[in-house]
Amino acid sequence: MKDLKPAVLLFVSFTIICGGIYPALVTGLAQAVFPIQAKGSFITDKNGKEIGSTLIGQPFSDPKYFWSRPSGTSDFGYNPMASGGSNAGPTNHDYLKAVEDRIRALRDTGVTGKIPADLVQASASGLDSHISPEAAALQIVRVAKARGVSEMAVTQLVTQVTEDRQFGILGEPRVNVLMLNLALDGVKTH
Amino acid sequence: MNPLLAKMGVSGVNMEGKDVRFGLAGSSLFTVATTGTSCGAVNTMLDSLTPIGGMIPLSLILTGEVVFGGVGSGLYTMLAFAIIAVFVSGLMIGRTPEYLGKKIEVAEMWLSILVILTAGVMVLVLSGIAMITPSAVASMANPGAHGLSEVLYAMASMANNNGSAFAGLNANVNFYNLLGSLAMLLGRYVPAIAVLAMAGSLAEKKYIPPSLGTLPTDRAPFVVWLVLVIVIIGALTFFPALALGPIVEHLTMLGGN
Repeated sequence: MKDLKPAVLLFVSFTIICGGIYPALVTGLAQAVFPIQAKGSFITDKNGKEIGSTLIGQPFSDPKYFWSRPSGTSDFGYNPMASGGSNAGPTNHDYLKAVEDRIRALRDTGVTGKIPADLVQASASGLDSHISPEAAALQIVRVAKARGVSEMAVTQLVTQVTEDRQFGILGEPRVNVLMLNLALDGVKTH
Repeated sequence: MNPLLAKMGVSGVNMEGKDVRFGLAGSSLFTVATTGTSCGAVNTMLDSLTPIGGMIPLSLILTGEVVFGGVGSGLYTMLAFAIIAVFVSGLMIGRTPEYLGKKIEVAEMWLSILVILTAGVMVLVLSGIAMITPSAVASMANPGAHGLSEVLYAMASMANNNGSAFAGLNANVNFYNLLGSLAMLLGRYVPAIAVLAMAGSLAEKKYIPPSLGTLPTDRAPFVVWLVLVIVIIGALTFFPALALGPIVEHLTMLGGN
């Protein structure tokens, strides 16, 4: 019986500390110190309307926009309610055929030479918001032609949006597709 | 790089199941860190790794996630390996097997073998049963050798308390739910109980101060020996299964099929 009291006491106090105080503290701190990130890194236009998130990729198919990576999410690509990959193995014939179709679709837009892997292989999350700088470079000619602007101008924009490794070492150089397309359209974001 | 894609004119590393911001280095580091300790979180879809790439996390789990300091039970698996290493080296060079001043005898040997082999036996036997069960085979998302890798990984992850997966395998069917629970129950609790029993047995023994006949276990040669013992036991237990899964897939991939 005398073991029971400390057990119950610990149970109650840890429930309050770990289940109430700690989450409240962390949530409060996050809202105060990183308000934008804590709310989901939303991008808003000049009227304050939410038009996307820098973290959640979106599909594009119009030639005048840069295209995102293929997505393996269930039901449809870039399904934000079902983040996940294709789980296709590297020697799976159906998968290889799918990649071949993606390559053909890119070639149909006038792409020659090597194709960067990230543009024809699906991401882990299925919601990858980035493409590699090489994958962006590959699309510059198409985008410039579809918009009737100079390749120079588009290249400049791509360079502007390209992010380097975080702190110089973490991750890989990358281009946020949504931010790039918004910049192309001249949408002011906050 | 997947040579089958290189043939189609794709350049760069295999990006299937990897996000651009993590890239190859970030994905590989995270995968190894979470499977070497029993964490199980992923930032990469392990099922889509190249065959040898997928064999690395699988092997780390199969050797018992002995990178201690993780969230799981790596330390006690490592202690069991240390006791086996002490015993085998004692036999080879004719010294009394003792570890940290305690004599290693028959009981400790039985218990450390239980710690090390339970999960492995569960993985191999249950994967074997899966291969002759139609509903288990139908759950595979990828055909051929990769399907075996998926099943092996599922059993290894469940028996060794990891939690990551070759997620193409549809494990939510009666077969995997039932045999998986068996793998988890035995693979996790038998070693835990054996380690507790060993602790009890060692605690009762008298401390023997190190003598000339004692093999020093705090020197570099023992560390190398311990690593070799882990690799040898892991290889002897799992090489045939790995040869039929990831290794055969690697070879067929190189061969262009």
